[in-house]
Amino acid sequence: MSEQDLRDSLQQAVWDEPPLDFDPDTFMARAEQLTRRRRALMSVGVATALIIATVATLPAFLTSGRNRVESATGVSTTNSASAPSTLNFPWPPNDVKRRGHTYAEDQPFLASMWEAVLSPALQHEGAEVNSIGTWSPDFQPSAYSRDQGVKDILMGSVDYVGPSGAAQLNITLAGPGGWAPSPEEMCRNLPDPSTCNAVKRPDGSVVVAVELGGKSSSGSFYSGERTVYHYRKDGSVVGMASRSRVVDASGYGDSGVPMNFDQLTRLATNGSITLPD
Amino acid sequence: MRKAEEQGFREFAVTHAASLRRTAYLFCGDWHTAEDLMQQSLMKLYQAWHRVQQQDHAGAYARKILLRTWLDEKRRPWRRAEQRDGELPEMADSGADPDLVSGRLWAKELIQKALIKVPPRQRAVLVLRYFEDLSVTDVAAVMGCTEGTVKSQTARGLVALRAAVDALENNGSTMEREVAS
Repeated sequence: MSEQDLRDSLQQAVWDEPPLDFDPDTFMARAEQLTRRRRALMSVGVATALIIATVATLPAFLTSGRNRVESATGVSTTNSASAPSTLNFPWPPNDVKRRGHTYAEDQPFLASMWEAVLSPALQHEGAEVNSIGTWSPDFQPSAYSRDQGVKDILMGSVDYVGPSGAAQLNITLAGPGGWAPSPEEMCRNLPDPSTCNAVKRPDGSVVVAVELGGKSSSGSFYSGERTVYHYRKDGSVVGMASRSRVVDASGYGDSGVPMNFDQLTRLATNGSITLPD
Repeated sequence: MRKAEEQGFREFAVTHAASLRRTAYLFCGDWHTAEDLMQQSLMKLYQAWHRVQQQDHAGAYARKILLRTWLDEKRRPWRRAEQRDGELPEMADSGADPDLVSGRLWAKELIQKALIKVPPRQRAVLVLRYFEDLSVTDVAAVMGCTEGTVKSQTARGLVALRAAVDALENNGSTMEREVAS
């Protein structure tokens, strides 16, 4: 069978087609009726979704005030123009001795800390057990490091899935004396738009709660990040930064920052999360 | 839908309903199903008409909808179990040339039975290329695949169709010999 035979055969296959019973008026009326019905169904669906979303988010909205770390001695700023200066927290401490670290030396300590402290703490804050990725931190130069020659700032991130979806926690562990900017300087040097609260705790340490960004400059995606730095009395700093890892075609999704300040503060002030002595 | 759009769609539907039904028939091998497929496709096209008419390729879009509607329909459980192995009814036409009618019926039955044995997507490619006379590029656009895939599907479809036709012709010859003896 050649291609021409096939063409002819296909034409012959439909030669006895029954008469077409197609009434455009009836068809158009039915199409319009179906369209109206579909629109009505969609309206009901959207209304239902709105009601469910309202019911689901109202409790979170009403309790959102808890995210702020409040204290009588706290100072705050909403942009880089005004910097707090009433903490009375000298930084960096003068009497601490910095110690260089290597990942190879610290690996057993870090591995056991991950197993016993960090991973369980992350689960406690809502991370799904089987979704928690690996934590592969490294000592790396930081813009905040006082002396790049001494490696005592460990940074690493871990991916997980939490209640709000795919998320990432960036963990910073700075050894005593390694972290250069004071709480006041941290708040002063943030880019707009951002908020910064520096709070002195009863034990004399300071917690700096920072929220960066929001919508990107084009407004197409949410680029926010929420971080809590715990300035400890021994001169070390532990930072916990939370951001969404939901990625769509335009970049990070508009799903907000997964962890609130309470959660990040619990992680950052956990005394078991630290570099080895 | 505005009046002008409605009028445009109405004209398109009236003009293309018959050809869409023919194509649907060659896809599925049944005029009733073909009628349903054509109606469903036009209904879907109506929903998207405000977008389609601006792009000036409503015919291709309608074929694409028709193909997807048919493939979706084939996936339904009650369609999977359907077997089309019944005899085709003969149609009397007193005004027609008996030899011509006989030849046409033979060709129709042969091609229809053989075409049904070709896998669905290959069958669709054959119909679009050799019945609708679309180019490889146009078929690729309707099928939502690359031109290379259209060429390979065409080649495989032709092999499958020829094999099916040969098998049917051999069966016919055997039956004729049995009747003669």
